[in-house]
Amino acid sequence: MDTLADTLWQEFAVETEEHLQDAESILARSDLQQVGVADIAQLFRSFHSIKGLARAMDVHGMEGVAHQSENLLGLVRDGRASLTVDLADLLLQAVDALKQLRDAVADRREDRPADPGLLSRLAAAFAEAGGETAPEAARAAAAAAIAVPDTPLHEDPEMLGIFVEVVRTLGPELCGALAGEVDERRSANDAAESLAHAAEVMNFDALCTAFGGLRDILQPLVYAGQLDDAARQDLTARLAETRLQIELLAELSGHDAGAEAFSAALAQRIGGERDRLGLVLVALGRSLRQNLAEGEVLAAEADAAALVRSARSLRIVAAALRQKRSAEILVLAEDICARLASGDLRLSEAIVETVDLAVAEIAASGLDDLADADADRIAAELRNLTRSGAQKALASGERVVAGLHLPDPLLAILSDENIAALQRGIGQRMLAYEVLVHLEADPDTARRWTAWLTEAAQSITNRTVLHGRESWFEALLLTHLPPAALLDALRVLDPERHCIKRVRRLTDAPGGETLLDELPPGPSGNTAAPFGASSAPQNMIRVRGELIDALLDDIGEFRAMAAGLRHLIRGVGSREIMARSRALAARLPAELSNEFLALVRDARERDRRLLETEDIIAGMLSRLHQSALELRVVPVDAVFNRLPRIVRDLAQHQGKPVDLVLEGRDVRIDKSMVDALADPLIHMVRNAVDHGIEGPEERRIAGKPERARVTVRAAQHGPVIHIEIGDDGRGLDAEAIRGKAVARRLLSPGDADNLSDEQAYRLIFEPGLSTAAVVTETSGRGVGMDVVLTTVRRLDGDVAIRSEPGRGTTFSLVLPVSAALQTALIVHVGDQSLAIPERHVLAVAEIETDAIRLIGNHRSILHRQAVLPLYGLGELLGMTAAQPGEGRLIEPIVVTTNGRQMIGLEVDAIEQRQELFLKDLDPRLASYPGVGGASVLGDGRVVLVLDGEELIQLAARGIEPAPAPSETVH
Amino acid sequence: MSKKQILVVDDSFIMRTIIKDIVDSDPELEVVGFAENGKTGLERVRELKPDAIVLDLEMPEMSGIDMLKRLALLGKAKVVVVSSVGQTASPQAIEARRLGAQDVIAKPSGAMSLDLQAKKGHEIVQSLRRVLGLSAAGERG
Repeated sequence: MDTLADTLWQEFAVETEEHLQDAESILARSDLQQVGVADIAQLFRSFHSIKGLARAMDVHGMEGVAHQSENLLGLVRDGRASLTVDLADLLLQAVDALKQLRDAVADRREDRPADPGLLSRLAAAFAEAGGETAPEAARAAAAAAIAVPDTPLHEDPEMLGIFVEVVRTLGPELCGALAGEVDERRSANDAAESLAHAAEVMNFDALCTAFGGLRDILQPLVYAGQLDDAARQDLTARLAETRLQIELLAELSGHDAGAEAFSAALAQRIGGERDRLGLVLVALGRSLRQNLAEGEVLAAEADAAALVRSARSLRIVAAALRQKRSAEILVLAEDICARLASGDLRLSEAIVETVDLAVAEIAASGLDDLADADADRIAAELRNLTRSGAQKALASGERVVAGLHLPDPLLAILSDENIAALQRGIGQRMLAYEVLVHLEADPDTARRWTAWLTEAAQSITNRTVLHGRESWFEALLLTHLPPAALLDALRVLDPERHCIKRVRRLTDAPGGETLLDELPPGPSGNTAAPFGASSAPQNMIRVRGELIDALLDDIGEFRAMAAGLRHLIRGVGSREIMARSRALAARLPAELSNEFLALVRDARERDRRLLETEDIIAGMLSRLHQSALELRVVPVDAVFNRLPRIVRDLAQHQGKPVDLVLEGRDVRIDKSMVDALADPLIHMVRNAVDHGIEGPEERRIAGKPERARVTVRAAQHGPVIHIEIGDDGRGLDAEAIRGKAVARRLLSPGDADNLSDEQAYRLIFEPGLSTAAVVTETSGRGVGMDVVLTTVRRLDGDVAIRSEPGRGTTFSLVLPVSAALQTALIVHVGDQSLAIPERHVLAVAEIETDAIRLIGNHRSILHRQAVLPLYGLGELLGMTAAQPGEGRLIEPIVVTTNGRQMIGLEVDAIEQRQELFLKDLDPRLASYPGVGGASVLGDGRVVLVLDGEELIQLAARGIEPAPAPSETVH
Repeated sequence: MSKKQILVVDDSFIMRTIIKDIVDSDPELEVVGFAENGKTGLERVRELKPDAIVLDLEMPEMSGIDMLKRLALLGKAKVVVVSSVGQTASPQAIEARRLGAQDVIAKPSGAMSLDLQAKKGHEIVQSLRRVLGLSAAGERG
């Protein structure tokens, strides 16, 4: 017996019983007056449903009774008949009849005809109530349809009501735009999309713009991770505008459009923001006061600038929360802080205190707006400040005396005579310094300091600065000493640095140039350090990637120089000098000889010390290099986190349920590898879903779980990273790949047959033979597997394939942790510098040209008892037409290997070994045969980094290379 | 090839089962969700974003017509009304068309028959295919 049929019959019995029960309970009510519109609708629906069910199950007896009853109730529902006791009786008879018929069907699957008497009574009642038979009804309706013009939806008052209801329901969800979770942001985006559509249908242009605008901002941010402040501000401003529109809609339609709920939702999202911003403002205000009190004008100005930004953010939030008065005050505070930050308004205790108080009151008001009285008072105070402040405004130029940017506290105490002395001194090419000394620390040093000041320098002015509980002394002085000499002089005065704490050379830049800063941290937390307004909340800093690259470049160059030094010290040269010196000494008269040998011994001793020092430097450089490298290492998740979305979209699009499993997301790899690996990984994962995984039907037939699985796994083993991309799909079809390779003339049929399956799999890395082309005949997208291999090779890695028909395919990538950094040998061909990675270089040799023989048809040399074929590197790359080595007696050769074969590369010159950073390469160049990457040398020269594997392939195939790449590079 | 995703909104379990059986018989169509009234129907639409909706009209909580009114505002979902009131010229059918239903057809019958043609199921499938812009699948049994 068919299980679906069984289920359906069982359900039929259950559902009809429910409907009959519902109908009976209404019809059987003692007081029919209590039967309301909803009950009639329910009754109608019950019979209607029974009719539909009976029809679906071919139970015509039941269908007839239910149909007649439904018609009758249709009249009642439409108000053309009322539910009388008689009618209820009749319908109860129908219920009874339906029960009997249903039981017969349920027990015996027997469709019995309905009682004709009941049917005719129902029909009679219908006719009596004025009902028309179905064809008549249809005709009437058709006539009505022609007569009544199609009302546009936006003019339909009911649709307006529904529109408002939709806005009320979805509106609050929009506020999820500010949520941290992707789900909520996506819902908000969907809601904005739906609402924009609804507003468009209803011809509400402004609303459509508001919703659509929100969607446009939000859409790219849904998966963007943590929202930055600018995005939050943008969204908050949009949401505030949306709330205004919702309020307008409510006014217009007379329905509640949910403005309150929207505001509440918005408040929930940004209330925390408001509190946070409030605290930030208060803290900034405090810092501003502190800095002002300590005369740290620059730090105070930075505070003021930060205050401007925070006040603006808070103002937008306050506006979104409908806190009009708070927003108004914040506008004023923002304005004042902006003028403070620009130096337009002079910092004063009064200004800072007033701003501070205003901010504190707003911060304290929480989710309530400021009371009108408070707002009026604060606004008046703030306005008053700017008025009086304007009179105190200081022309910014005034602060610069004779090309110096003098700190305000010093400037404040400068007399006209002081300024004149400064001008004079600067005119005499003296330099201005600001020195902070702690004279109480050591009376002797204090004495020496005072003596030195009168002797070697000219003191312009000085002031006392409180540092914690100690009183320090800040002097502005002029001297002819350049910074280094000044520091030396001060070191003599105060070798232990007990007293002299900070030395700044004053320049035209704010803050000048700090030469020495030995300030201990303040005695307590609330004493702000004189430098910088506040410390970062965490011990983390963000650095631009290029900075680290530049640092590594410098270190690399430094190491190269150190290697040069090492060569100089340890090289043959110095040993030779020693040997010659001894030989010379032997020929000298005895007394001279002794003296001379003593000198040589001294020289050797110095040499030994040099060697030791060089050793230490090399060790330190190596550690420095390692630390710098670690700066570039990031979790592999930076690539992995892009995969779920790609798999989800693709799986959805293709109707394949796929689980993506990501493992080892915290494995760390070089930053540049993240960039380089992204495309290959995405490509392979796409391939897995696209071609590796079968459709659910095929999987079901193969006895596999319908949900397929794609696993991406990263692991680190020592200096090597393993990344696996595996699927449990159909596996690669070796036969199809062989066929394709033969069809594409990559292989002869005989060669193809001789390939093992594993070797055949590797053919997918050949250009023009992607898995897509082989397995499904659908075109691949973006990069092909050949580019995947090229990229991985370029990173000094390799790809292996494991595949089992019907069980799936796994690609294993093996990569060095820091592939981006490679040691390479720099050589010259013509005027082009080229780099050959060290792992491909077996030896460097200079051979005499007459040692070159023709073996077979090829120029070769004997190298360690092996025949080494020679190739001009430039020729191989298609760069030079000239015969390499022509007219030379000695020719530099790089013995290059791929681990299996060796060739000799003729070059014009061999320069040095160097560590190089592989840079991203233009794809056109990356696919150029023999070229694996590019790099920039310390002196700015661009070098192409060659791929030894490809060079040997080029040599073996004797492929005619394309035009020179050198033009592309320069 | 990805199948078009269909949501079935009907208050009857039997109807939902039968309609799923019919819809799934087409290789390019797949029922991805159910709802038993207009209200849950709207929720499912938001969750599943189906390509088309098979909608009953008579349902408790929220009727098919009321759901259509909201769908008309919320998006461009394609709706095939499958209803026993589904004579093309009935007032409800006309209202459904006005509200954006792409087709109004009768409920299936003869679910016990093995032949899709006899079940009148082909009407549903063909209507869905037409609405979704798929080629006619008349040659299929």
